[in-house]
Amino acid sequence: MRRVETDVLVVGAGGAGMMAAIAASRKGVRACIVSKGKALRSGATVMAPGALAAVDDRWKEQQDSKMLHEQDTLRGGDWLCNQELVRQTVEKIGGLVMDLERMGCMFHRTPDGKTLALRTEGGHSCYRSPYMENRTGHEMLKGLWGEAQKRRIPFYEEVMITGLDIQNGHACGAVGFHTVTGEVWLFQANAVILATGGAGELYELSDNSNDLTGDGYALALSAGAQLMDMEFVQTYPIGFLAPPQLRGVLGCYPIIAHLHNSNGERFMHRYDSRLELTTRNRLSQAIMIEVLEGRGSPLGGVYCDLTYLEKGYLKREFPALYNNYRSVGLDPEKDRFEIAPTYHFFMGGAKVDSNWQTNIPGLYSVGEAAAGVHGSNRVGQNALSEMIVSAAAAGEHSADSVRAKRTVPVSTGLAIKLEKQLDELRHSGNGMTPGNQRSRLQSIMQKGASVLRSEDSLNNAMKELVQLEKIPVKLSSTDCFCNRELLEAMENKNLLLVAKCVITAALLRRETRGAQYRHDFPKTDWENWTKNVLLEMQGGNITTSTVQVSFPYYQPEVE
Amino acid sequence: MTGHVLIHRFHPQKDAVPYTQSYTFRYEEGMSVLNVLNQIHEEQDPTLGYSYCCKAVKCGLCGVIINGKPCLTCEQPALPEMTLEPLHGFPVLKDLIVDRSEYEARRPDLRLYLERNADPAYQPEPIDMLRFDWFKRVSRCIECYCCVSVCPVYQKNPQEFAGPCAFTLEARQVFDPRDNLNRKILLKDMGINQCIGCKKCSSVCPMDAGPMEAILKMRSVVCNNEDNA
Repeated sequence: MRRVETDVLVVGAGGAGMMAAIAASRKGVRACIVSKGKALRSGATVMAPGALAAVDDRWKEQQDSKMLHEQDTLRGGDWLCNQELVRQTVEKIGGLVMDLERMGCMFHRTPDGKTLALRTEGGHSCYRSPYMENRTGHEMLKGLWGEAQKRRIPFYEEVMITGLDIQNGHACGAVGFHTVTGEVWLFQANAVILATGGAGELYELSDNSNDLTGDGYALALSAGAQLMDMEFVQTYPIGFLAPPQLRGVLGCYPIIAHLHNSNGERFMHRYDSRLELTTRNRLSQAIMIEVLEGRGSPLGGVYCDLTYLEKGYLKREFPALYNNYRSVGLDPEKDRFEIAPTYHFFMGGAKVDSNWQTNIPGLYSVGEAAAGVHGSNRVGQNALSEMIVSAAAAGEHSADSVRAKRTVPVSTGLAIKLEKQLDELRHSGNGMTPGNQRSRLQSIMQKGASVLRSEDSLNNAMKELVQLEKIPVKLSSTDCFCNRELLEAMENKNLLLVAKCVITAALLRRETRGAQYRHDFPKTDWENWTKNVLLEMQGGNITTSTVQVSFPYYQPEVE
Repeated sequence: MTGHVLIHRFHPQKDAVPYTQSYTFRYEEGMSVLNVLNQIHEEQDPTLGYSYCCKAVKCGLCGVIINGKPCLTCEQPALPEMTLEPLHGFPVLKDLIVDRSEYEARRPDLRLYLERNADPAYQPEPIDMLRFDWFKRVSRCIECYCCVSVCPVYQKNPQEFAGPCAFTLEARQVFDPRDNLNRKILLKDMGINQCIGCKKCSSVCPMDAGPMEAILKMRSVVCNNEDNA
């Protein structure tokens, strides 16, 4: 067993994790990062192509303003957003963009080289987002990682955190195991910041990396923290269904895609006058309704048609995408290809206050692991902004608060318990493989709790999950070393819990709003459902409650 | 159609020497090598060890030698007949998983962060767009080590030549117009003069980061005594 002592423990080495550790370290406390994967080789930030929305006088379009950014975000989230957190995000992100540049990041310049070039996306009123080629997240990570090296922040990589230590209602450490050696690790800390990202692995069709298994949500819930908005999971509407190499990967941009059903009809005209340029959620829902009503393609999606474009346009304007098509032998100028919504982002997560602290003192949750900024639906390019602002806030606040604390020793009992659990798992006699367990789980969620939901589909999904949970898991090898099945089995525990959270919250919310579409309740119920759904673990069961959304700055624009 | 693949196997606690295991798989057009590995892992042999994470050519974790050439398994189309080996020049942890920590241990010496004399910037700094192009290209590096595994100089002499990836990482700093650190001595210590310009590294780079081009460009800085390009 290994033991690490620190002041602020950050779980996750993505953009949020590194920013949080840097912010804490700047306040003069010891911060360290523990990560399931290796830094820059895991998680979502490294994959983020687009841009980060940041309004700032130093580069903004003349007509743009922070207020406008705020309003765009609130509208995008269908008014379920936490307005305090949104305000903080839009206020602070500009300054933090410069902070990132000082750390070594470099964002695209205008052709004269003088200031930041800007992108935009559906939902934003102006061009307001700095970027770097098609690898903005990667660029941010390079700067953050460099700064972390400079500050000598220790990285404990390839350790999966499986439990938090809460004593007297306060976070005081964590326990986990090394995914290569199998050894148990115990962490002593006065504050824990969860920066563990989302849970795309919950679904069959997702563009997420394989390590995004909702670990932070499970850790927070199991530790006694409240989760919020778990029903809202965003799909990117146009994901490849085939070939196998590209399944789940972003297939096209709505700005150029013409979508046809099996009748050859460009069906969006029946759903929205903006056709494919409607919001992501509406586009996803329209596609799945076509499939449900029998007008889908053989693989269960619809067709994306780019053949109408002028010859050479695609190669010129979207070279990376064009290369993607050509690399699998697809000629977009001649062939249509099958697409369907692919799971992309979790709006929900731990419920946090304006310091991104959960209801458990000393336990923070940031980035995709936290709820509040995006409400029921995220506007593109806001994720990277939230990631940085939330992490800086939590890093600073946790550092300030640890100084005033008496250290509570982390409980070694946790390590003994985990050792026993891993041992039992490795030696279990009968059951299904963790790989099969995951496939089953993903299939259940894809069928019953994805884009189109109903009471029946959700209840069935829950029933099947409960059945699945009863089947024990059997590993093919009792190995400690590089035992991928051991990791998968531990991740599956988190996925099962998160799946139940998504379904429970979705069942409760009897309305359609943002990313949630309920067949049986297809309208937005402003009177009864302008609330957030909260989940809490009590006596081993997930209990629900609701809280009215407060509107300190803006009143909702109700259609 | 049935495919056949020979995969290098090695478990350090069980095997004295590595061996090759043969598998068959259901070959489908449009599969990547990663799809094949996942199929085998899920349906036949869950003990098979291989690395991957993003499945989308972003994380650089899945580098493997496929029919003699280093590629990313998530990017490389599967063939009905294949031989898979771990990247050359790295200790093997298990099967196709290599130990990156030795190579990563070079990074702290490279000072891979912005080092400057000037006061930190509070306005977006104007950037020379030509320097910017070099900076952008080498920054695409995802440290997959495909280049390192084919570099003949590194393979023969890792003690004196840091290998293409380390140079590519260093190049980001060298080409950063804001960076003031004299990295010439660093480059000399890394053995920059030993590159033979064979271009094997650039030819296998999945990101087209141009390791050899970067090395030659930086070498002109070192030889010509120019101040940081």
